[in-house]
Amino acid sequence: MKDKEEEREKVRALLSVLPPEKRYLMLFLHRVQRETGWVTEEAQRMAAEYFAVPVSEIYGLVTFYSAFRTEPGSKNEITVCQGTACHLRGSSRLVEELTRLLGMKSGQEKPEKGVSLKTVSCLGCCALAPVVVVNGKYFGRVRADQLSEIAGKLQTRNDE
Amino acid sequence: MSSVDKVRIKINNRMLEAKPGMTVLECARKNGIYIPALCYLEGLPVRTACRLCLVEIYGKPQPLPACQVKVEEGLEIITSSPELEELRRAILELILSEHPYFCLACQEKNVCKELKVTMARALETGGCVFCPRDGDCELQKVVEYLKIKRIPYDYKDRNRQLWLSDPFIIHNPNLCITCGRCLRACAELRGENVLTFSGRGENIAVDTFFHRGLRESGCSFCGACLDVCPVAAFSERGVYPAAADSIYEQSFICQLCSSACELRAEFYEDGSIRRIKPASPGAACARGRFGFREVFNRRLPPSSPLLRQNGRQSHSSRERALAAVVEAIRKYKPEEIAFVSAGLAAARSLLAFYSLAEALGVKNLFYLAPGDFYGKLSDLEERLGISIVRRLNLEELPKFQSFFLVDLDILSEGLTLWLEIKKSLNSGARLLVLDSGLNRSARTADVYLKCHPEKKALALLAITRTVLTAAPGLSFYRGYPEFLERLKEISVDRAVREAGLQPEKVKKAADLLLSSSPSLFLFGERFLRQPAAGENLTALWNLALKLEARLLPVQAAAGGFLAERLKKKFKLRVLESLEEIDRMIEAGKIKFLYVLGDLALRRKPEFLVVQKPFQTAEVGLADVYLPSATFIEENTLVVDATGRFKKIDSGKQELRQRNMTNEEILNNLAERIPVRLSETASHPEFYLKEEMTEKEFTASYLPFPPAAEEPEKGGFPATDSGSITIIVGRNLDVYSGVSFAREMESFRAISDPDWLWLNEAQARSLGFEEGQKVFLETGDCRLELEVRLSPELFPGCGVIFPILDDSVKVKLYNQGSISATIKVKQ
Repeated sequence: MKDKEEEREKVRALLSVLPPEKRYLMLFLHRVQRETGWVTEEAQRMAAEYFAVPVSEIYGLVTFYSAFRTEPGSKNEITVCQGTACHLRGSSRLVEELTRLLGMKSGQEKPEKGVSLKTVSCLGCCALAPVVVVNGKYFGRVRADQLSEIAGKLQTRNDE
Repeated sequence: MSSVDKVRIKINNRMLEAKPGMTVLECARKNGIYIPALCYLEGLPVRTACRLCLVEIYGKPQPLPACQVKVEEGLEIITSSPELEELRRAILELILSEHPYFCLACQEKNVCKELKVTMARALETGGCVFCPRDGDCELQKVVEYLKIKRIPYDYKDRNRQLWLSDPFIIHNPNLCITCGRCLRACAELRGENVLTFSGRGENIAVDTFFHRGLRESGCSFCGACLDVCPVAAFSERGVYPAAADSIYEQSFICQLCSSACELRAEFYEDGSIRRIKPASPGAACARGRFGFREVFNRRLPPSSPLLRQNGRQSHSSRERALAAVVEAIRKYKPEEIAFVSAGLAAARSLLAFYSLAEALGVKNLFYLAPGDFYGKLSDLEERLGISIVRRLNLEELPKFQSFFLVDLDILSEGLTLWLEIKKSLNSGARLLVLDSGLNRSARTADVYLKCHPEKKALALLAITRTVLTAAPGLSFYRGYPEFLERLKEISVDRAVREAGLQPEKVKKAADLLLSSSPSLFLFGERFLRQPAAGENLTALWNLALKLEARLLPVQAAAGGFLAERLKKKFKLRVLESLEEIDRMIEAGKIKFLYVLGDLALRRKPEFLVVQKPFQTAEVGLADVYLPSATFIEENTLVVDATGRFKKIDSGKQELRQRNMTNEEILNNLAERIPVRLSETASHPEFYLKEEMTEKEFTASYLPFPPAAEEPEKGGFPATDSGSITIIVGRNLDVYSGVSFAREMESFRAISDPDWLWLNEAQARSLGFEEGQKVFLETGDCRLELEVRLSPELFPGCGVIFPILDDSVKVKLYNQGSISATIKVKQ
């Protein structure tokens, strides 16, 4: 109950700085995602009331973009780009390597390890291909042999 | 803007005329030229999802979708060519790769009935032969047209769960072709906004908010998704394929509320209803299409008249029952006789009924109308010296730039009007709603002002004041200076606070009204069913005058418009409750009572005739019970909420009836007595139209009482004292005394007269849970209800929708809102 009120307070604060116009909805969703790690049902309902947009429409948006989550994320999030440029520069090898290192497939989550691994279609920074994003930090021109270092760091951080 | 009113285009070398703004597809369809399309549907916004309607346009490098290309002078179009068919086939093959296609591509489908080929071909039992839409499927038609013989892709089974937890509607996501018709119908046609797409790419699916069931998503079960789905992704429970020659169809006007929708029923040979569909997609509600069907089917076979002899009721022939009525009528003096009708909307029946009474010289004519909306309105008009036009020509609607709903959930209380208004909203008009919660139409509103249920006048004054601050300009109606003076005394801040409004929303509302003019103000029954009805109407009137807006009263219950007219013609008394009749019976003033419709009498007069379709408990008192045809079996005239006459062209169909219609019974009686019924009974349309003229008058601002010097309380919600404000609505899910919810579980799941709606957060903090059984105690009575929670409701108030089947509930209803306490049932 208290957590819920805290969450509502957070969302309210994020809403109050935006004008109640539909065009600010996406910006709001990005901010909630960044601040809380996911876009809760309650946040969607509150946004619906604030921007005068049906909840169903907001849910459609949130599930359309892979940038938003409707459930809590892992502590560590690894995203591998599978866009054309990254693909040509061997991003699928990166996915394979990460799968081996972390013992999980893309699209999976390992709550016990606090890691989730996913692929996306393009991150818009093709000049850096292949791109791996770890907890919001972009790594460009990644080679498979660099991945064990990254993966190792994640796990130690989780152990702390 | 060009002034061209038609353009000429060429389709397949045929010269055609089209209206500018039309699409090529619309023009082709209008002229009987077939272009395959699965996502396009007349009346829905275009989405261009299926791309089957690709056409070749002279001068364009590649084919374009006909549903998107607007007609232009001199356009030359080819709708069918080997190249186009190949493209379309490639597209259709992709659509089919995710739709079970074994039967569609089967070469032996014509002999399937004999050979059951599908059993051997399909991977699992399925395919068209088991599909409820078999033979009536748009995908099948397109496959036929494009002569698809085989599909080069393996069938990809989505393997998704069916939605089986809802009444009336089943969704099978594995059959969905993601055309998006259902969600466009849900959002754009109806404004329900329950369905949406979720996910992307191959994961895309028709979905609800967080994948809840339809019931938990606020679905009203209007069935629009069933009307528009091209395949069987949405299908109606219990409706299976039937050979066309084994069903017959009948159109009728639904009389369950004042919307008077035109519906079409399909009957099986045994006379039971297979399904009911609206005349145009989405133009129906659960009440009309599911509720009525179920009740009708359950009440088959036909009932026979009842006759009381030696104190006991027994079945009798129609002949004997009618003779008994005639004999009784002759026995009593006209002043001992009373005629009362209740809950009826059919003009012909009512005119015949009162004409018969008139011909007999009977003076006690009553019409039971709880709430008596138009009557109240007339009284108020007289008191305030104003006049409000009750009729609206739907063709006028497009001129309004904004709509203001006050105490009116028009989606539930005036569907036909709403569907028209929604069209205006889709093309840019704006919607403002002032209510206290549970307002479906508010889901589409640009601004939704939620306020204390008994402070509507104050809320309106706050808006008026805000409007005047933003636009202090002149107004040429009388009384403006005095009005301004008075208004100055109102403190916006305080009014906003006391009414429970949010200040920024009031500002937005005023902006909306000022920027989108002219405006149509619509108010519902609840607006006048309050102690402060006079103040309410005064405040709304003044605001409307300032903004040059048009006012329109909208009554949900059927028959109100007619009652007004009948009142003048027959010196009929409109009663809000039964008490007066009960008293007259007790005092021996009424000895013979003729009841048309449903009436829960407390005491029986010497002789009681009841005439209605279904034999319910109230019939037990009757000396003669005459079963009449339901409205589905009669061809009558109905006046809807906007004053329009509606009827089905009787030349078009031959009606099959179980019983005589009300009108036939009454005419038969008149012949037997014998008396001649007046002309009006036989020409209702002519007579009623003549009556509907409006009077002239000059408009002026109305003085309103100074702001009440109430000591400022802790504001709302005032539940600390243990009492809560209950808004009493009315449940219209009832026909001929049979409540749909009581009759069947499926209907009870979506609407129940025993629900008590409470604000979710507040109820939880007070320890109430969804589904809990409680007692609602008022000064008058104690109702046993079930708690339902809604986050939408204004805190501190609750809502009930009782069926007005006894005098206590009628009394509650007439009060509009009541103060009550809630006790947990131990």
